Amino acid sequence: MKFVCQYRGAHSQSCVVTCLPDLTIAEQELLANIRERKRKLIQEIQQLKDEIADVTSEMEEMDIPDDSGKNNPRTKQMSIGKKKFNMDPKKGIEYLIEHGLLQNTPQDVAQFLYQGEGLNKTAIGDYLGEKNDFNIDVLKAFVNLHEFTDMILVQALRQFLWSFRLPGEAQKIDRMMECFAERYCESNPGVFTSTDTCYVLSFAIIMLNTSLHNPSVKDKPAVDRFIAMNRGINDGGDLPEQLLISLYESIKKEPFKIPEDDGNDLMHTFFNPDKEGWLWKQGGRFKNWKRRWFILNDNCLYYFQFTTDKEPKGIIPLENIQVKEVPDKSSKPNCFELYSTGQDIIKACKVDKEGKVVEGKHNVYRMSASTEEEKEEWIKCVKSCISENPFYDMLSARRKKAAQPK
Amino acid sequence: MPLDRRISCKDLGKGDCEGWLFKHRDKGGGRLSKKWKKRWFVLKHYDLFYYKQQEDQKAEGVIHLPAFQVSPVNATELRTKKDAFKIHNAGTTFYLASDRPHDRSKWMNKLGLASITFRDKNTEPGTMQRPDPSRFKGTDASNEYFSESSDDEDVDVVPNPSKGHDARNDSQDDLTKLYRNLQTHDLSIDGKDRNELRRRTLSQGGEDTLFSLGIDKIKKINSLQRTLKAKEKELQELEDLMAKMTPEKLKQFKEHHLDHGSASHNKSA
Repeated sequence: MKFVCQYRGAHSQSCVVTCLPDLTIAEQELLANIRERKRKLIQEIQQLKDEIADVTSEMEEMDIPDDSGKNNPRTKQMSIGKKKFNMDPKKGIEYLIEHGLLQNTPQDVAQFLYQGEGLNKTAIGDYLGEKNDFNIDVLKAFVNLHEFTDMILVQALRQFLWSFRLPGEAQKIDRMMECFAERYCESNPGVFTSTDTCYVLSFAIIMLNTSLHNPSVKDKPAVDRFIAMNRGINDGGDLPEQLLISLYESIKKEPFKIPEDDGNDLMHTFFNPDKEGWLWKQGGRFKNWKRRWFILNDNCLYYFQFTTDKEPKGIIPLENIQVKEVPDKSSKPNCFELYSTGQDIIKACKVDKEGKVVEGKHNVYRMSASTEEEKEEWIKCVKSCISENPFYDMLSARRKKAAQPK
Repeated sequence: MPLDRRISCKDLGKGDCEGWLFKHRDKGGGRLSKKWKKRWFVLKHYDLFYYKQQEDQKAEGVIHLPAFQVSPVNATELRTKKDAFKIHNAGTTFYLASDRPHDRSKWMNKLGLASITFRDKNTEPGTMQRPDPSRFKGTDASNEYFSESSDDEDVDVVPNPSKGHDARNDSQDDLTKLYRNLQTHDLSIDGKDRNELRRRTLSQGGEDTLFSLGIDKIKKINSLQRTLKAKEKELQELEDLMAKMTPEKLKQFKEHHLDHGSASHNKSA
């Protein structure tokens, strides 16, 4: 028996399937169901696309600046571009370039970000932190727009840290601080023997600021400890004590002004995730399996109960965590596991049945992927997100470099 | 049986081997806990207890040795101590070191025997049920087979400057400590409370300001795009199935699909 199946898809492609003779009635029924499901999916996808377009334009119409704006198409486009930028920085810049409101040069984009009017500082930080050649060039141009000549380091940092919100990922911060240190040293020759010195000292200052002014940190370093921790970082030599004291005093007297979180700090992470998809997740206390939509980004795993949910159900920060595959003996195929390398319980939080945010109770998170390839892909992606304490490694490597006599 | 470390050093009684050792636990790559802590160790049957002081009412930690391997440590793995050895499995490593080199072989011998649940005829018979050591081979049993005080007391304690330490290392430690302190409180270097940030991400939008209205729209677009992606993936799977259909594949698909009836229909937006 030759069995022919035809369907028309969204792209009106058709396919002919030859099936094997022993197709039972049940199987044929299933096949019919699948075809029906497919037809419905195509329909739903179209509906979703329409809805996305609707909501997007609704959002663009919101809050257009005064009357003149409504009549001037360029002002309106600029406003739309900024809104797009605040939501998804890359898309926003693309839009503005497309509509001729920005030139496609790092210099012009940097200028736009530096002026920053109507732009969300988290979004600026996200954009500047991206690791591709164009964004890195924009970052350099952006930092070079800052004028640091004859400024003490703390003052320069105040200006710099106010112009955007530092992203969370260590590698991004590293690139930004590197650029900052280069710019500072270039504008102030003779203050430090190398940019590494400036880099390490800048980090020490930022952390000093948080330690001194954040109420939850009890250990407030005194000035002599600040001097001690910066010993030998000037190519093996010490920095002038008077300089360190003045930096310390400046921070102590007046904390850094850090741009406020406008409430959607973590939201950007859902736009360009490293990986996302369905996984089965085993419960912590009860070992039942639940299907969740997982998103991997910025060293965190987020999961949603339904893709249509606006907020995730849980967050698993990938800190002090390792991943490994689980041999296919358990009830589910294609399993892998996240386990803690530090404390017994993995630090994570989720929303419970009453809608309260609670700490997770997992020793391990066991997940099951739909296929072998999917499992491999997830393990690979999670692994690349876990560099063991990248921040600490980065800082300590740099400190060693700064402490080497040249 | 869960490991219980709520036993005073005195009540634990004379161990099969006891003494002061320096301990250092590998936490998340081990880069952060560079400090060696001196602890009183007592080997009791197959469990290794350790206390800050011999007078302590509660052990700081206990390690169930059959779940671990005992191995020497070479100088490239650990530069800060000579004559160290380690107790480790797939997930966890405890480094131990003694002041006296010949102590190392004594301890390694005793702990090694305990880890394979070997009992010396001369010692009194144990009272605990001995688990089959092969059960632990190659598995990551770290969480069930040791227990340690979770309060991170060492964070705010200034390390004793030992003689061998040069000033540069101390100052590196100080910078590290500054960072560790922030990390303990889940703060980013510039003081963002990351725990708070995560909690906020999970909780649903608050008051209806124009501003939060904008955020709500972004979230909406987000969820729609997510749903779109999920549906496109599902469509792709169906297309793949139809393109290369075999009864086996069909069967697999059926199992997979009936397994999660809820898969295809999401809560409608």
